[in-house]
Amino acid sequence: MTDCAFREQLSAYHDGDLAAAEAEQLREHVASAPACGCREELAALHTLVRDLGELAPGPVPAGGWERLSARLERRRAWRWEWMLPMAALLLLAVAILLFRTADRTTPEPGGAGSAAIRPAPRPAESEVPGISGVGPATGRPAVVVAGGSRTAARAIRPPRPRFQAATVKASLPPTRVPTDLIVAYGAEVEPIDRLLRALRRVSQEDGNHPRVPPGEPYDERGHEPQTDATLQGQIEALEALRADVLAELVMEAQARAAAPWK
Amino acid sequence: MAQETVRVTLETTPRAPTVGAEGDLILRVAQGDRAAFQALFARHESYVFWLVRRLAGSRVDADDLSQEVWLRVYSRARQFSGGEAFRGWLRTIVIRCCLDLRRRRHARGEDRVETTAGEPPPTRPASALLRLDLERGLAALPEESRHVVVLHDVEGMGHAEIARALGISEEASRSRLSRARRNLRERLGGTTR
Repeated sequence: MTDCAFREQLSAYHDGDLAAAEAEQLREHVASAPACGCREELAALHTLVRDLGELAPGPVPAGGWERLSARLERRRAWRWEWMLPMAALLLLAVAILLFRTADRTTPEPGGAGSAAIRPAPRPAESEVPGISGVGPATGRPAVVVAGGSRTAARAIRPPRPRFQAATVKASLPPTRVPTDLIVAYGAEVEPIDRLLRALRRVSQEDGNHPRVPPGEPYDERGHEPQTDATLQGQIEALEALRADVLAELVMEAQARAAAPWK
Repeated sequence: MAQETVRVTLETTPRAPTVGAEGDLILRVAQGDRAAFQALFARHESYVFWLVRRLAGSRVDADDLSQEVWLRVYSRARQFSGGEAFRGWLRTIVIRCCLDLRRRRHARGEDRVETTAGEPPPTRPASALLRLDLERGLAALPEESRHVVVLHDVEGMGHAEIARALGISEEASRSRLSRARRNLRERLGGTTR
């Protein structure tokens, strides 16, 4: 069988996909009983396509449904095996996230460069830069240190309820002060004292004080620069605040002594 | 007159399983009805198995792959829209499963392993022998040609439909079909009737 240009078109001719002119040419070629064998090949093609079209599905392996059913069950079991642990993990992740979020509402030691003693029901700004807030008991200004060092910030976490009554008493002039006043005012004095202690320690520990190169806004740990001048200013402001609190305590004690029925 | 009209209507109502009947079954399958799924499987098991086998060209693959087809039918039953013929929808899933298998194998660099293990012995009447030869001839074709010839000559799909299903052009489909037929005829020699 020789190579004939029409052979390539036999399949399309069989399917009726050839254009009319091409189909006519091929028909004439095949009708001429050529030596290339196109006629025989076209006949064989007809037979082949007919046989393929008559191919019916044969027998199938036994137990197909049982195998499929088992696979469905396995898949369902697999889902449950994974869904429960995944749900538990998800719950755990949410719990951790909530815990961490709640933890961030308390002051971070040196985290954002500031820390506060809360609650602060009435906002009141101090004249000293970096110190602001309102005291918990009397509405007196409390302390917020901006740009404090880690040591100082660690010292001003939310105040614990206990305080040093003896310290307050020792700071007072020889005046008779009722115990309830010492308790009320002491709650304000104690955090001021703690902060003062921390600030003084920082100012004394020259080596621990984070130094910032000239012109740099933050030190190597991302803190605002804490210069000696601002540190000293904060100490003095806190000392004045402490004196004010004690003076008010004395005044109230004297007023109560003058008019005990109030 | 009215009775005659009713009689004519009843006579023209098709008795064979219709799209509606399959649609009802697949709707129940979508709702998780295992009995409906079993009924659907029983109706089309043979069709799916043999279409998979002819497209994949391997008896070994056919069993596992047809199971995969049915798992897809089960999980995608909700996607069947009543507007189309169920057989066409099923055939699309079969073709995609076969193409996925081909992609996985190409990705792994595996060649198709053809085996005739488990084939019935060739002591059959002429028609059975012819059928066996045709099946073997199809299995021996290159994969791309085989897909087209099975879908066109066995399944009766048009070139436009084949082109869409396989992601090729209509011209490529025609060309592959022509090549496949010639290849198949040469392999079969004088076997066909």
